[in-house]
Amino acid sequence: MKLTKIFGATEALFILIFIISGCKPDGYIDIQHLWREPVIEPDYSGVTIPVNIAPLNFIIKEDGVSFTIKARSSNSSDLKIKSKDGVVSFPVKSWKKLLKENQGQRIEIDILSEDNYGKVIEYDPVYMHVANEPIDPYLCYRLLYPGYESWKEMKIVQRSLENFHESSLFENQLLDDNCVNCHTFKQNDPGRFLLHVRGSKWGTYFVDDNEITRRTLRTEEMSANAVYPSWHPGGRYVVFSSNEVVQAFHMISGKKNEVYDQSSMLVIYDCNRNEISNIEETDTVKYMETFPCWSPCGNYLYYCRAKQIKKGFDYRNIKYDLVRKSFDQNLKVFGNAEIVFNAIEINRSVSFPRISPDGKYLVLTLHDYGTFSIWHKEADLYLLNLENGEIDLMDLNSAETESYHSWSSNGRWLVFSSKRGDGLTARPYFAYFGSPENIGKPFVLPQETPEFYKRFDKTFNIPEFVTGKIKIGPRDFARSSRKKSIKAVWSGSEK
Amino acid sequence: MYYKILSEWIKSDRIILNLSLALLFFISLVYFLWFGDGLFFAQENKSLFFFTGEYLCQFMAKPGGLLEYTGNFLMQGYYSNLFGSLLVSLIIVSFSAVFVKINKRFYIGRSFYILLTLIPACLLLLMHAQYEYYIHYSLGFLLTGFWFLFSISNQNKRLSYVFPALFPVFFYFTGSFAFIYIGMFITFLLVFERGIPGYFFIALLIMIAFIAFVVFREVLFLQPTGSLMFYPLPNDLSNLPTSFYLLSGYMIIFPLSLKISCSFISGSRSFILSPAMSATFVMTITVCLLIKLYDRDHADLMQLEKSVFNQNWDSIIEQHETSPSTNVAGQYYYNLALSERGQLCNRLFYGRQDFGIKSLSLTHFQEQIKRSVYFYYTIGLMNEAHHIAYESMVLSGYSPQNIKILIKTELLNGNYRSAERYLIMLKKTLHYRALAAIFEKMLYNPSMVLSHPEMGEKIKLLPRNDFFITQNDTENIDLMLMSNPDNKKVFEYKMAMLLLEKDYKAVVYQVKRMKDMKYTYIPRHIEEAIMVFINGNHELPYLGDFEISRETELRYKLYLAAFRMNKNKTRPEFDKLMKKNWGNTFWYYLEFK
Repeated sequence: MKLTKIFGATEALFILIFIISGCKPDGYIDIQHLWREPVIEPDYSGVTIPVNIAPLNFIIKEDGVSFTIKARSSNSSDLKIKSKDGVVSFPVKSWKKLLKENQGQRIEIDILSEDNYGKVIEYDPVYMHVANEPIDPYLCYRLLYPGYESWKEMKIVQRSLENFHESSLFENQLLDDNCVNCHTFKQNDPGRFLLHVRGSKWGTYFVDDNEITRRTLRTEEMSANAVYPSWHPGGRYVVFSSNEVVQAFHMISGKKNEVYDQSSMLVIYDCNRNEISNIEETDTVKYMETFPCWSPCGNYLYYCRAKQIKKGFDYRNIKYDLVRKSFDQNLKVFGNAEIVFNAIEINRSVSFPRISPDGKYLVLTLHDYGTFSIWHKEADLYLLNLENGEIDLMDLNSAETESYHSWSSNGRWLVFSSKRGDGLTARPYFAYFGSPENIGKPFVLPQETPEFYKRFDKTFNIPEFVTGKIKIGPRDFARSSRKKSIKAVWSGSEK
Repeated sequence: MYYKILSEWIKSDRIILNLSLALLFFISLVYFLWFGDGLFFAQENKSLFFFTGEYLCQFMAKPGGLLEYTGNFLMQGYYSNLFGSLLVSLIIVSFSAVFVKINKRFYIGRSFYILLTLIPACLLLLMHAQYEYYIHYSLGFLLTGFWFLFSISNQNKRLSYVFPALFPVFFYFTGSFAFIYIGMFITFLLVFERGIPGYFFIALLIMIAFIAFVVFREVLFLQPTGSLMFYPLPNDLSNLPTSFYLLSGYMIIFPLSLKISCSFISGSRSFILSPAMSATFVMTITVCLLIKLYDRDHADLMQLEKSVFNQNWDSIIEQHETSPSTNVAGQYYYNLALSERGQLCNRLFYGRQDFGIKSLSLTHFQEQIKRSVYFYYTIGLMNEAHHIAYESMVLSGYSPQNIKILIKTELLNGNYRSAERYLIMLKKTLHYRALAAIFEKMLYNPSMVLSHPEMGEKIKLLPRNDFFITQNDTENIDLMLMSNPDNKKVFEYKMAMLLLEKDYKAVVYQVKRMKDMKYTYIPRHIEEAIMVFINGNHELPYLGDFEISRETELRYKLYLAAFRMNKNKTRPEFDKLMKKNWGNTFWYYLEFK
């Protein structure tokens, strides 16, 4: 009888503990709820993420000696993590499962912090929305110091967006430490792209299904190198701007570099015939033309255009409009230029036009003047509706520079360079694009170590989506650099 | 009888050897304690060692990287002159000890015992006395010696293959030094292991080395052939001292020397060199060469650089005025120190000025570019100072100098997030954490920056309007003056520039601006220029209510009198006489420079 009573009491006690712990998360009794979200770095709160993205690891920037993190949703079991230092690293496998089970839904992340005295603080949950549409599996970018004139290490890498694996595509120490730039893919195709190498291993390296061809595009008729490229969707033509670039250094606080063109023109390269020619301009006014971008159908060439500067010019008055020319693919003939967006009228300047794969929208960078928006703090991304001509400031901007951007192959994701982290180094940010009214809160490229961006002092330049893994690597480029460069033949009008 | 003599020899040789090594250690210690200050500063200041995984990974990415990493780790010790001296001396003696061990293995004759042991160590000592020679090179030699010793020490035939077979590991750790080992071991095999087994071993070693090289190049490391062959040596091999090549060659033919020495043990007795004589001979030559290699001017310059880094402006002024530097950088530092102390137009000619305006701001070439950063920082052109420091970081990595400038300029420009990143880096170092703590207090705290004695003053100098920097610093000074007319530092630089160009008329026309800059008196050298102007019967322009001091007027009268009195003497004599009493005046500079 006595024994039964003891058992009964013990049972009651267990039930009581069970009920209490059931009422409060993780068995904590003394919990204080803070009616705000915890501060996390990078800021992943409220972001819209693709189902195939790598774990969004973060650091909790709240006081505490131990943290409990629980990712939960209505469709799957909880993913629970403990952290002593506030660094939250999700196991890749569990993360993938969580996202897959919650496609089109949202994930709620509960965070509790505990201090030395056992006091527990519960915050409002952090939400992440999982989109239905996946993102392209790879991102390609150049890594370099956001410096002025000099460089030493420079490389182009491909990073899997589904995990944290990063591999080099190009490393300049294998090519006499020369500068490499402007990696450009034919519609996100990992097998078809080009890049420029300057210096002793000079040339434009065209990659076509694991074959690399080194070409010299500059001819005597061109006053400058071929610089910013855009592949025609058909793959036969590449339009380049040929720019005479000048660099100057500001002395006022808040500004560093100014890069502008002294002159620039558009040239078209025929990959099949190895011919390069200028794009005729019928207008009597002399212009500087740069940042070409083909429409996905290949019938229009968009680019930025400013009046040719003259002696004694003020760099602050160099402003570019967005214009386009029609293109007859059979005859290789361009129509007359027509202004698509008159930025000069609103006293601003356009750079980097990029058209969505469905051809309906164009994202551009708008800034106060000039052509090199990455050094312009005021530079922001705008969305131009090509069907009705409406242009709007995108919600994804920050107080710092937003500059280079590109679309994913399905047109649902945008990647763009933003300096919002520290005002100096650009990081790739991703934003979901459902429609002009449905643009997700952007998130930075996730890293295995969430403190990565605090320490990493290089900049991510020209982030481009790629639909698969690029098979060639740095040694292939090194081997190609030893081959003789094929010189393009000029087939345009005389200078 | 013969063995008795031999054992006595060995015994007495050991005493002489130990004494020689002790002496070598002593010479090295004294030399570096006495003369190594500038050298240690220069090398320690060349790079920053970070206690981070990322920093280690940079070095792990190429063969030889870990050697440089270890060298950089040890080089932190150069922060202290005593520790640096002890470290270098220990490495030198350890290197000698390796050769003692190798010699013992072959029982070589007393004629060469001391000689063969001391020569490599003395060469190492001579190399360490040079600015372009780094401690990781010595570690490379030391490891090569050890690896060779281990390779030849195994009596077991099978085990003797282990160390040569582990060549790829050795190659990974030591980089190009592995090739010295290859040369050394092949010579050893050719000399001591003649016959088919020896030749087979050579072929095997070459094959292993070749395969390792190809695998490293084609599979494991993204390094060009040149880097795999020569790293961690500098890109420009001509920067290495001659003794480096001598030592490398010495090590490669060392087994041959052993063989020759061995042959003397039972050979001609008449050829015996006294060990004591050998030791004395080698030590004397080494000391003579050390004295010859010591570059006083360079050492003084390094001392000045150290003072600039530590902002010991008074010590720079004192050093240059008592022991004038003939180097443009030395005179540039003096002018910089004067400017920092607000004395540029008062004391400019108290120090030697041989280069005109070239010693006010340095040209942007090679080594000078790093030094030129201080000029821009001093006059308040923080963007340009940042620009140069950043470029230096990109090209040569972080150094205490460039990271300090980067932090200061970012704090002054209010770019706290960038400054924070540099501070995170600085906190991962051994010696500069305290400095990081000082700057950390200023992060996101503009009032703290303003109240800091140095930073607060620099903020007042910043440009108020934007302009683009040019290649011409005379132009930059004018642009800066237009951008911030209250900037006294840049104004004094302008005046110093005019004085050094002997354009006293232009100096006089600038004096009226000084009133707005809150000058209370005309600086000494400007007064001297005004006196010359007056003496030339020019019409004196408005001086902004300033008056020439009576003392300057009196001095000028005395100068003119002395000038007239001595002008009939020969030019050298005239110069000497005038320099004695008037060498620190603009008048002397105008007439005699």
